[in-house]
Amino acid sequence: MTAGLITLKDVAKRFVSGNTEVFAIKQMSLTVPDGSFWVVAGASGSGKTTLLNLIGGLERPSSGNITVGSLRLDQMSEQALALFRRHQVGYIFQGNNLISTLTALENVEIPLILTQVGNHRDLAGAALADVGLADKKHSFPHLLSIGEQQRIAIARAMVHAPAIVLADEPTANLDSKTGGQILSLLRDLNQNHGRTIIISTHDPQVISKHEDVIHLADGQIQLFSVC
Amino acid sequence: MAWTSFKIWSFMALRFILRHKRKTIATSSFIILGTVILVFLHGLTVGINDTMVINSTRLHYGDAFIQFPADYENPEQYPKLIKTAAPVQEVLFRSRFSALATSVHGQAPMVIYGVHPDAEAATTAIAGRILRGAYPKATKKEVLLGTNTAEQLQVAVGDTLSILVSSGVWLEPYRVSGIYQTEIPHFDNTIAYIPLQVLNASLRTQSQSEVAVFLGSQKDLNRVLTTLSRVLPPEITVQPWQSLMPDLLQLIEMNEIAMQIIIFFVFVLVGFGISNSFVLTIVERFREFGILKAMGVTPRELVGLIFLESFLVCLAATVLGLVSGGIVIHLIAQVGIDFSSLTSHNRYFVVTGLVKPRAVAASFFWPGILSLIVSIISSYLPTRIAARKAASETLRYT
Repeated sequence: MTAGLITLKDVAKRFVSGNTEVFAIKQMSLTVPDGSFWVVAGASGSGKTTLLNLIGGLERPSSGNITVGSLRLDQMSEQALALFRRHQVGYIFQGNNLISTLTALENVEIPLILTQVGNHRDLAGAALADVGLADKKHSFPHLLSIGEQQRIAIARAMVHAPAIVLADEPTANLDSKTGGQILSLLRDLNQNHGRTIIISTHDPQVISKHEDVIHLADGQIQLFSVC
Repeated sequence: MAWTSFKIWSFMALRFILRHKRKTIATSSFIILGTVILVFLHGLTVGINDTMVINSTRLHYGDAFIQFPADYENPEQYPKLIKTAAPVQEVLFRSRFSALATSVHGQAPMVIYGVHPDAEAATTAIAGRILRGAYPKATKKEVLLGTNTAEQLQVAVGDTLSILVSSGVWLEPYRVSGIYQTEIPHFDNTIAYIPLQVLNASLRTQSQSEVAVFLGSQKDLNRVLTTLSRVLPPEITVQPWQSLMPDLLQLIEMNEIAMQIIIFFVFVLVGFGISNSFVLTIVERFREFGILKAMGVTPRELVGLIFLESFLVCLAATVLGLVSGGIVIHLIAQVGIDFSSLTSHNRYFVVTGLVKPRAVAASFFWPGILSLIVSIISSYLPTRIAARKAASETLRYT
């Protein structure tokens, strides 16, 4: 599945808390080509998570347009956005990614159940095998290491073959070796399966290993190093 | 397609219910407890009503009452006929007439019942209320007096009374065999019992013939009334206790209304508990719902999922509550609850103060429906909150 071009045009996201108004994203415009691997870099509070949430349809922009392929996310209903996420987006959050009451296998099964894929149990098992956790499929999240939990989250994000995978700080709280494994899995997903991958990070090591990087600060693009 | 979706969501709902054991048990406990209380209160109401009916009917009048027209031919044949035709415990024939009793010390007007002493003593509660002496013997000219009548006449057990019947006929002297006390003025002041067998034939034809029908269980009443209307001649009417004692019927209805109000308030309180439990359960799972939303679960599906979970928990807990309530009623009914000390001066508890809760269909139907409705309404608000919150917002919960 391909999502097509991801385009943000003059997008702003404003949060209001009491009398305080904070712009997490300020008049941002960018285009992410289909099948690319982008890194969104920046310090904490720079707007990385908000940007990913806007692209994934989890947040609505306060102003501006967001287009994925032919879909105008800013004009879609909650129902339509949910269906867009279900079929086109795979999410990996920063830690605490999994549903604690479900086993690894059951967590990976959910996107397949939602997309009504018949042999969801087998496919979920295969996805877990792909991330090297075939033997952990009946384990509950609290019995797994953070690295293993992240790998399961990757398996869950890719199992239903979404066009876009959004990963918010996927290597945070991981040692460099495990972080490297996670990034390899994501790169494999991009190179061998053609998925568009956008990850956010503030880890200089991760940033240095990638070429297509957007540097954010105060909700604005500071540096655009895209090949 | 719809069935497939329902199966998927049911499967997921069941999985979440089973895995959130602690939360499921906490929520279920409220519903089970509330349902048990409702079932028990309803069963208790039925039991109290039963006891009031027993206390009223067992004293004298029976569950159904037949009064024969004057000079009716051979009314004594009917008890046997009724016993054969209907599921009754006992049928008592009586002859009633008014009289003036005279002792050495005074006079007192009385209503005298000619009865079959053995059957009366075994069936009604009067024999159990005898203070002194005993029930009259079937073949002896003896009389059982109420305590106030005995005081008015200043007689004791063994004394003799002369009885003047309203038609002007003097009966042969009757010996006082016993004195009873019901604490019901109408009985203690006026009602006396003599053996039917020793009453002369001419007086028997002049007196009013009555039949009192006693049942083993109140639930047989309608069936017995239907049978009696079929087997008895059309000129004879059968009166159930409800028409004989309208004040008791009204008291029972008031008791039911009072209990319904109590039940309502109990369930409002329980409803708050259930709602609170649902709110806590759902708020604790906000992040989980956020993850599901991020994976593409629509707001409508999320409402459906939470609602299905709530419904399944409510349904299972309600069924469990109904069964537990039935068991509680069954166990307590084995021993009963003794209200005697609280009701010693209540005329409706003159026979027994023992209340045995009894479950009827309504004891399960209304609590079941009420419990289910309150539980589902209680789950509505937190479900709405969870569904309306933006996915990104719910994901911030840890």
